[in-house]
Amino acid sequence: MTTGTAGLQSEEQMLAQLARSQRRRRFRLNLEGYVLILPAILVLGIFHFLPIIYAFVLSLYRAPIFKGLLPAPERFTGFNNYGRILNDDIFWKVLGNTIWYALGSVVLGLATALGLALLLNRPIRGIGIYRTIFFLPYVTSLLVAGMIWRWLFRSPNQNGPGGLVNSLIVGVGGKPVDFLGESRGIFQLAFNIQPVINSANPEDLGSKLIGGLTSFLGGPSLALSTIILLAIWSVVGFNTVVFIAGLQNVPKELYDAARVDGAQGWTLFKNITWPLISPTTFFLAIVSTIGAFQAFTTVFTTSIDRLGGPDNSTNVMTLFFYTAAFRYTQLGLSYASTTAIILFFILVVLSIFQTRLAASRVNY
Amino acid sequence: MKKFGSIFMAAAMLVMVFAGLIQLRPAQAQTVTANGFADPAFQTTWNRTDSLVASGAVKRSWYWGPTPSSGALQEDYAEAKDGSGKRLVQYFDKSRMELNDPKGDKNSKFYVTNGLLTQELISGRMQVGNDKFMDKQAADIPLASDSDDKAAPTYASFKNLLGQVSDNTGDNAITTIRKDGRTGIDATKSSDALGKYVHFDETTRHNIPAAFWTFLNSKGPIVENGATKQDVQLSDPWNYASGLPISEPYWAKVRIAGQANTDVLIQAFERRVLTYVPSAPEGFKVQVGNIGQHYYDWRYKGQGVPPTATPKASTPTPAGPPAATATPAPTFTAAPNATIVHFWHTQTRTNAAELTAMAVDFNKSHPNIQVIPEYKGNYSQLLTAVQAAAVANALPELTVGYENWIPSLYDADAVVPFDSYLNGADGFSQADLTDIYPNFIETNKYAQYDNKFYSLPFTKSALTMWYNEDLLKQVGASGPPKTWEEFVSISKKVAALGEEYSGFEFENETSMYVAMIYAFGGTVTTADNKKYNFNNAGAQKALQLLVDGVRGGYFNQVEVNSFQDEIDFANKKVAFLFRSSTAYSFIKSYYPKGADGKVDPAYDFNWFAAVMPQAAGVQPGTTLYGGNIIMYKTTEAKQAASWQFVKWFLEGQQSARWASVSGYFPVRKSATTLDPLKSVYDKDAKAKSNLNVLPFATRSEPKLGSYQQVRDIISNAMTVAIKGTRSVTDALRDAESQANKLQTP
Amino acid sequence: MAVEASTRVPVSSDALEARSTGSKRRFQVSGLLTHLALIIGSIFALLPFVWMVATSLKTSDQATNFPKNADLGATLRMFVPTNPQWSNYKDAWQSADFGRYFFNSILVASLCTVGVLITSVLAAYAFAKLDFRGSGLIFGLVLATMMIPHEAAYIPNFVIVRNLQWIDTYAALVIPWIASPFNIFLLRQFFRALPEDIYEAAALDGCSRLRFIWQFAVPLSKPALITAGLFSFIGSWNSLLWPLIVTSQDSMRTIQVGLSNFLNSEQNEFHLLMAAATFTILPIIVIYFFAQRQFVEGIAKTGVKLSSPYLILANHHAPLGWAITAASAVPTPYAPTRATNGSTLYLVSPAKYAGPVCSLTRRIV
Repeated sequence: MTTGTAGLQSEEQMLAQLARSQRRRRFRLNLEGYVLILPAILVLGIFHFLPIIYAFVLSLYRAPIFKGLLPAPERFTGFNNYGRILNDDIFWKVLGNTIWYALGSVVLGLATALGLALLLNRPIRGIGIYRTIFFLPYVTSLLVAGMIWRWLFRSPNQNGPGGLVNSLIVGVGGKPVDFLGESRGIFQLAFNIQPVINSANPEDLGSKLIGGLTSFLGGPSLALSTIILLAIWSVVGFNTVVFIAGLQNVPKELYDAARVDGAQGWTLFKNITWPLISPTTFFLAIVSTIGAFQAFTTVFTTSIDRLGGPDNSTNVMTLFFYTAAFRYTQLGLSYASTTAIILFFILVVLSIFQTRLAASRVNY
Repeated sequence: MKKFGSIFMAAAMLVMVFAGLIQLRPAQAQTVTANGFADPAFQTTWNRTDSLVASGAVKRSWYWGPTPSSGALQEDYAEAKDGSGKRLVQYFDKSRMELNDPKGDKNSKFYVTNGLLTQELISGRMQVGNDKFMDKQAADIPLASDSDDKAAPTYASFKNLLGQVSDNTGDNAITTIRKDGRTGIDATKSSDALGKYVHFDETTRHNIPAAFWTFLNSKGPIVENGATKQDVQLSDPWNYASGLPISEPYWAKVRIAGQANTDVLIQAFERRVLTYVPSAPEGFKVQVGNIGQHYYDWRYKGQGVPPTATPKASTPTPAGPPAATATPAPTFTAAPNATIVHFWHTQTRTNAAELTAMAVDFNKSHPNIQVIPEYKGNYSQLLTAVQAAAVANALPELTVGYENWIPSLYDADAVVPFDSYLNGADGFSQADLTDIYPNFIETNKYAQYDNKFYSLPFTKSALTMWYNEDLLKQVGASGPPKTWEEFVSISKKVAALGEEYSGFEFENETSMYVAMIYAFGGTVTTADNKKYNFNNAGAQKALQLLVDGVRGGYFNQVEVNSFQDEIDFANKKVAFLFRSSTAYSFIKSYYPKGADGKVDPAYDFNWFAAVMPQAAGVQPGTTLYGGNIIMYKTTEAKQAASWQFVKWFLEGQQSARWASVSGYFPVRKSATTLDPLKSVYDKDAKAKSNLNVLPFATRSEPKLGSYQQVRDIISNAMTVAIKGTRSVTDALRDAESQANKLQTP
Repeated sequence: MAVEASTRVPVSSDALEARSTGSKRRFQVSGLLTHLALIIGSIFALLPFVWMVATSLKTSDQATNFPKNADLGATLRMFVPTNPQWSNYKDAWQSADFGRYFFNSILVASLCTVGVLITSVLAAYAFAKLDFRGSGLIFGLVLATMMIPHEAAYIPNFVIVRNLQWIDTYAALVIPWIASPFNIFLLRQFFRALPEDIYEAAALDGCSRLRFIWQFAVPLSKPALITAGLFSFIGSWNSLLWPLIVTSQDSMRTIQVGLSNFLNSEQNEFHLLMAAATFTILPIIVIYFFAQRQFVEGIAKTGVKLSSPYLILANHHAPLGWAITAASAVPTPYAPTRATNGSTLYLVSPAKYAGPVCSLTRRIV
């Protein structure tokens, strides 16, 4: 008996010891984690996270320019700015444009990049040159690229067909297209839909809603589509590189084994490549979406008046932010911050949604 | 960690040992000679001139002073040869003797030097190394009068008077100075023979009057190696004791020896201040100011400093720790003593270079101010920097900016109106104000803020109609059109010349359209300047003109920022352009070039500037635009210094210089007759034709804070109307209602 | 996705050989098609770029002068400058202190890249492999910092930088950007694919966490690291507004500020802008050309798909100084790692083990 009790005790002791050692392990692990993330967290916390809080606080004020960290207390207006923005017709239009921009540039952009990456992940002659060529657009300063884009797609005018693309179209006998000056949606143009505008009472909320919705469903304007093309052109090189890095992680052995088993082509891609690069795809999808929602330089340099024209059909969220903050002095940073915070929440929700969606499909 | 700790400890100990060594040094040096001289060499130097005065052997004023007035002192001197960062000095009434290198050649004339005290007293910057300084306040100590004469000029009075001048040899010194530094003229002094300029110093560019020149070159008995020598130059070379002149001589009325209203001529030299009192007895007319004593009091007793800013009076502590020296930021040029004025601008390339060159020149002639021009990108980027600076409470002193920034900056209490400076003692005279084009004055007044000047003109230009005279002649027009009907008919004829031709090419640009609205007799805002009003007949007609022209094929709208209109104009394919007056040089640069990259000189053609057509009954005019200088709320001193720069920049000479390089309008009428602008105009009638437009550039765009946004709204209305997406009236109505929504709080 | 590779092993090598010869012709055709696709893609990618270089060699009046009539030949001839103005490059270079700007940009971009890589590798590893308390939440917050426009952060950051007295210093240009949520996220994705087993094996052999990251995680994620580095370098190289805000002296300014001189110009200086743009991106092209060879090397190697328990390892995957050996050769107590074929593998340091090293190649699988 005594030995039994002793055994029991020792078992309890052992359990306690085990728990202690587990706690110690846990503690060590936590500590290790915190130490490793510390440098990044310090910099991100100070220079990237604090500004979000600052922007939020600022969005509760109404002061175009102010001295000192915050405007005077009497300038505090609570959520007034949010109300103003939500009542701003242009904001809704901008939001619609941004959604189209994101959809277009993310879906088409990633598909192109993946296709290229598959082609470029083979041991073929001159691979280094190809890779460099496809990466060139990404290293080209977007400011310059935007300028070049405008020339390429310059609209016809009284004296000539316009830019290179139109010269080519006319050269082969087509009619020149007003690429960057066309504010109508591409679906609207393609199917020749007339916009629904209740001109009798344009300020009526219902007609506004219907008008806005139809204009959204009309698709991105031709001008915006041209800019989306620029966005894809410019970032596809980088996405390709990331995809290649992902493809590198797929073991050749799996392909060999599958080939031995008779699989090839699409089956190989579907069953091996696609699931195995899912972490990369997931990463790019999230990052591209965030990038697309924050697109600024493409639109700023390419839109016909550099400010989201024509008729605000290429105006996007960050441009809206930028003009409010740094161009329209009477709006200023506080109003612009409101936009930034709205954008922030949209992106947070989208990212959570994407993560949930991906949770079951991403293989690590 | 342990290792690091011990290294740290070792380093700390090393520092302490060093500090200890520094502490020890002065004690060794303090071998004061029996009669109070800190070093035998000091006594030798003193003996040379002043022993004879002390013994009564000669009658003349003291060169140094009766006795040393301080003990031996160790003062900071970064360049000390022994690396101690200190040097031995001793004060006398009239100077400070310095021993920079105890191991140097004792027979050298410069073994003992005497201090550059004047510069420090006037600038308020204490020198602690050849180019190291500590900021103090300019000494408010009378420099040529009884020390309790509250109305007499002080060192600080000279602060703004150190600028270089030209050679005036033969003229008389007649300028007067007051305690506040303001100068005037006393014509009665033009007959004083000793006040006549006889020498001009090329190095510092100042004139020296006869009284001082004679004194500085005077000869007399001296003592050298214990023996008295006769007729030797007392100061050898003449500037050994005094240094070079750093100001002009100025007359003042002061109290000397209780005698009020005594005339005295004062001139600051690097090391001494010389005074000439005509009413003093012979041999004492010219005296050396007691600058050694003044300096000692200023440096060690905190005298001559306004009470609020008095630094803790420190007794002479020869063995104090090395002073914490404010290392001057190595920006720009290294002017040692200056109020710094940051001037943020948007100029690039040659304009930026010229602006910098001008600031350098300004700084040279105003050594107490240092203007630093800084490129901050385009207007949006500059505005970002201003906002950031406001949040950080680090506003610059001056920036360029648009009129429509003022409401927001005013709201933030960030700007200062120029009025008090403009109208102040150092402001513009009536003559100045009439010399400046009245439109530049008027457009910088802000009606909503008591008509105050919250900005002043900087880079002004006007919307100009450039026309190709050759083309006009070709289609039978005699001169630039005066009416819109003429304008349209000429355009149609020119467009008919060929497929490549256009009557008028334009970019979709609001400023241009607004100028046209005015020319059609329309408005942009309501009369009270509170609401927008551009859905009126004038605005509609102006826009309809453009729409019809583009539809009709005789106008051509080109892409924004493509400059295609200017290029086509330079290619002789366009009759009219509505562009800024600065387009002159751009158009020239688009002349087609040959294989060698050069323009064929025979290519040139006749094109000039004129005011755009005006509807019947409309007073001719056009829009004035461009950037202005804005002054920010900083400190009184900085604002005053900023004003000095702005004032200087707006003077005729500078205006001519800036206009000639940048192509912006000269601010003053007189500038057009001054070189280098005059020669630009003389050389090219095209450039000069800008002056046809200038007087008409009377209209400014709205100064409402929301105007920038409204500009973009109007530009959008133009786009949709010209494209035909909407009718002119619909486009303008929608735009106006959008614009007015911004005005309702 | 789990391919039971072990069951496929019995296929004879002859059969393998036969299959591959059979598909040889088809493979060649597909190779040709690949080239064709890539060449067409290259034209699209290059077009604007060629345009830039062509424009940089023109005069100001030629730069934007499109043919007035529909003339395809004339349009295409715009790609070939008739008399190249090489002096544009000289003029552009001399218009500002580009030498200094280059020095600053290279220094700042390099420091940023090194900083980003260090902070990102550490943080990404922790987020990927250490399930520490709050890691999910903190990672979410890290990602959140990506979701606000950079421009919104400039003003508060200016205040911070100014209070630290960093205005006109490299610190202001570098330190706020030495951590990047994007790169942490990117590397985390790659580190997650590393098998936990390797760390356990290495830890038993006395390998510390930091050393493991340096000797295993980093070399195994080379392509991802290069991608992260490129991203960071280019981002820093292209930034304009921030350098304008935090610097005032010309000597502290970067290449984009020089470029903005032309962008903000009030006249058509596209030829100079394009010349400047060309030489500003040249360094990045060179860097990329050399960096991408790392990917090429990667192709020749067998990848590591480390989805436990189907682990495929080859000896050259073991970082320098380590070896992967078969179970039979290694004494206990090393932690086992299972290979695809079910055989047990061990990761050992040669310092502790001097026995025969078994090289695992594809044949084992």
